Amino acid sequence: MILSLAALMGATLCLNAQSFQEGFFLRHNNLAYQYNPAFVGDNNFLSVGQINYNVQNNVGAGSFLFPKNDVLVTGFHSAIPAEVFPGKLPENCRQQGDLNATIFAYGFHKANAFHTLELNVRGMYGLSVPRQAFEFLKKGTGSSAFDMGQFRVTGNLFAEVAYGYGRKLNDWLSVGARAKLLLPLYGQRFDISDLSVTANTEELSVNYKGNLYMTNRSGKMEIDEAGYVKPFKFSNKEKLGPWPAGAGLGLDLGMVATPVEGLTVSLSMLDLGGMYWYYGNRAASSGPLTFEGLENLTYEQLSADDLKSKLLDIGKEFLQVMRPVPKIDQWQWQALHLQANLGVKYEMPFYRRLAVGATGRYLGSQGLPYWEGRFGLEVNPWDWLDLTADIGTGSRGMVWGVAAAVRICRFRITAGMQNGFGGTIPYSSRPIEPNFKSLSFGLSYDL
Amino acid sequence: MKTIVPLLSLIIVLLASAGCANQDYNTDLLDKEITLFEREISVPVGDIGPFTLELALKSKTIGSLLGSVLQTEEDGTIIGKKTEVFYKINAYEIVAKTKDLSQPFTYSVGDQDLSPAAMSVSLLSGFGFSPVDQHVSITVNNPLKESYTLGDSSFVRCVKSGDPTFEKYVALKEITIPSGYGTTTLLETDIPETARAVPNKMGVKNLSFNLPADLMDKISSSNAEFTFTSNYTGHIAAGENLNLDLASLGLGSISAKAKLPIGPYRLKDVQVSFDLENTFPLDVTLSSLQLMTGEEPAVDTNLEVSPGTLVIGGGSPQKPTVTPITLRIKALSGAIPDITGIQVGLKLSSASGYATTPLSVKQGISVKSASATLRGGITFGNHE
Repeated sequence: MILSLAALMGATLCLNAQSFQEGFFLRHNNLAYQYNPAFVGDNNFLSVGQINYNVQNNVGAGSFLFPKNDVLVTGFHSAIPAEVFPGKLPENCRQQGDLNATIFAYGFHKANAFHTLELNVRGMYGLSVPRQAFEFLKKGTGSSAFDMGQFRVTGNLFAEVAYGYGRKLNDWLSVGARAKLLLPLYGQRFDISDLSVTANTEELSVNYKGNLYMTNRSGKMEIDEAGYVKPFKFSNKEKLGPWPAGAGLGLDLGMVATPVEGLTVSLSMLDLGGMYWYYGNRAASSGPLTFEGLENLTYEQLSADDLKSKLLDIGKEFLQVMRPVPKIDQWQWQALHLQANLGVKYEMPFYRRLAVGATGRYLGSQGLPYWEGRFGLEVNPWDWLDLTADIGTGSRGMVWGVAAAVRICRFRITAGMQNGFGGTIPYSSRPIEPNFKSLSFGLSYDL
Repeated sequence: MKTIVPLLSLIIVLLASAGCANQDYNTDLLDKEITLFEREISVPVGDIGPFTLELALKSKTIGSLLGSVLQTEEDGTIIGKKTEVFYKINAYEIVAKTKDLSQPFTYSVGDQDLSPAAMSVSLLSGFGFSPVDQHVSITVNNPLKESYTLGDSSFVRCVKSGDPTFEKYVALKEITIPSGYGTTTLLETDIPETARAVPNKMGVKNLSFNLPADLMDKISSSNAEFTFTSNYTGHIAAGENLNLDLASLGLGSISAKAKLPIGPYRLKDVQVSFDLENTFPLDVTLSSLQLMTGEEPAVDTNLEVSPGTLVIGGGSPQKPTVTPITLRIKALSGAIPDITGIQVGLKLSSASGYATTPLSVKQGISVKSASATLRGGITFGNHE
């Protein structure tokens, strides 16, 4: 279980997303307005199918796995001192991801402005495991209670209907905004807080408070005869709960300036806002769970099978104590992950198809904020080909990115990749170092 | 442009390679061994037992030694019972050996003795336990159709050699053995508590029969034997003077095999604490406690066991004694391997106040409020 948890913390998904850097540096990107609504596209366009995914971890697989004498060991191996593992882990080991799938996007010029209409499906997930959990397992504990902090698993999916407006105010300044209607589809959150473990000669006790939040779209969780919730078993009587499971609003703002020829400055704030979620399924459980030793264990029961059976019985008793009770339905506010971007790009006067620049980004993910700065290079050797590469540093270490855009007739295909340094585990995409990663692919058609 | 595009392409390739696999992290090489709780962890274990003599008798080692000789009453009290015919003679044999049967005659036998005590009581007495509640009797039957008497000089006796306080004599001249089924008791007595020993000789002295004339016609057809039977019952107690010290007996320490396969867990320092509840009326002293390891168990000097001496007080089922014990096993270097035996000096002495209380197989020891503390971690997934 420990290795699986560690592997999950280091795992990333294969899907990735287009980055601000691509949106800023690629010259003929129809979807550049997604990163700054002030970008006014050259053409009317239609886009079907764009996947955008960001995932970041403040720990990598290398936080849990260590090469040692031609083998690979976990942090729990005796050869790894506690100062290394879990000493070097952050207070909370987190992974967060954002998914953005553009189902449909239409951009058109009208009335001296550039308008966009979009339908997106977006999702966010997060996992948080406290370092103290690993410390307890690695070191053990003294007689006093060991505070384990908080565990949390969240995930949600929502639809986004967006309208964008971008306008050139004059020869050198454009401004823009996108208003987004947010429609929650499915969400769940499970957290364990106030978790503490007491292990001494008199008792082994776990104190906790557990909470489960789930939207009602898939039905109401069943309640057994004793009044306890049966998690993830849903009653058909209330199969169709309120849909969407809430509502919200989001706003993107931006400005693009070209004060001198060849120089572009971009500033944008994305995902201002959030949404209310209706959690029609709520349950809670709390401890303590206490074990004070086996009782009435006879000499004949000292066999391995009997001891195993006794311990299983104790486990079943604990599960009985942990049964969640239903709680009142609840509305909860969830903010979007605010993003602030700044970019500067300058086309070389001696060769306008070559540009250099720098970007900076801040992503305000709850509990795992992210910042980075990059230097980039872009070349547009032919009208149908655009290439960009960048390198920089951020809160997850050194980062790099590449992207390309190809125009074939009226079709435009973009592909990009961003990653950190440090490599991955062979035969998987799990990064070894803390990481911010994205990969994107998009297809649009110039109208 | 001609140089920029290839240069940019090269940069892209180099950057892409930065995300490549690091073979040092190939999970095919993963060693899954983990060690948890490297500093310390304590857990309660609970109550175990009781471990009684009754359970011990079911074990192969102790049971094979004592199980065949120990008897118990319904309540578990250890009792020694022995009923044995120590002399018998067939009436027809007497007829064959007597020349003149036309007159009443006397047939002389002489002395007939046996060791009357039950083996269990004798055995435990030899180790210093005291027999208590001893009761003996001698009975005889009558195979004739009419009564008879025993010789004037005949008497029965129950003695312990060398102990003049331990004698019981009963003259037989006044005793008439009636005819019919059943037996006649010649001697029945309790051995005094002050004896603190088992009788080692019981039987008849100067035995002779005063038999009627025409003996041949007087013999019962169903049973023609004169049978003298010894009956013994006794209990065993700790006794005031019990002091069984294996060292003083020249036996040194006891070595016993005890398989504890804890080697793979690479424990370094284990401490077990518990309250030992004893209902056995014996004070037990375990000294020079050492652990043995290896396929051929031998004392492992790398293992430090503390304390080296444990003293456990004796008690009774009504008033058990509780002795707090903390036992620590520590590897001086490396880890504790598989334990294959234990070596210990053993001394048993009677607990004060329980000298004459009969022992019971229901008595024993219980472990209360046990807990374990591990220091240095516990290892799983060990390939060794």
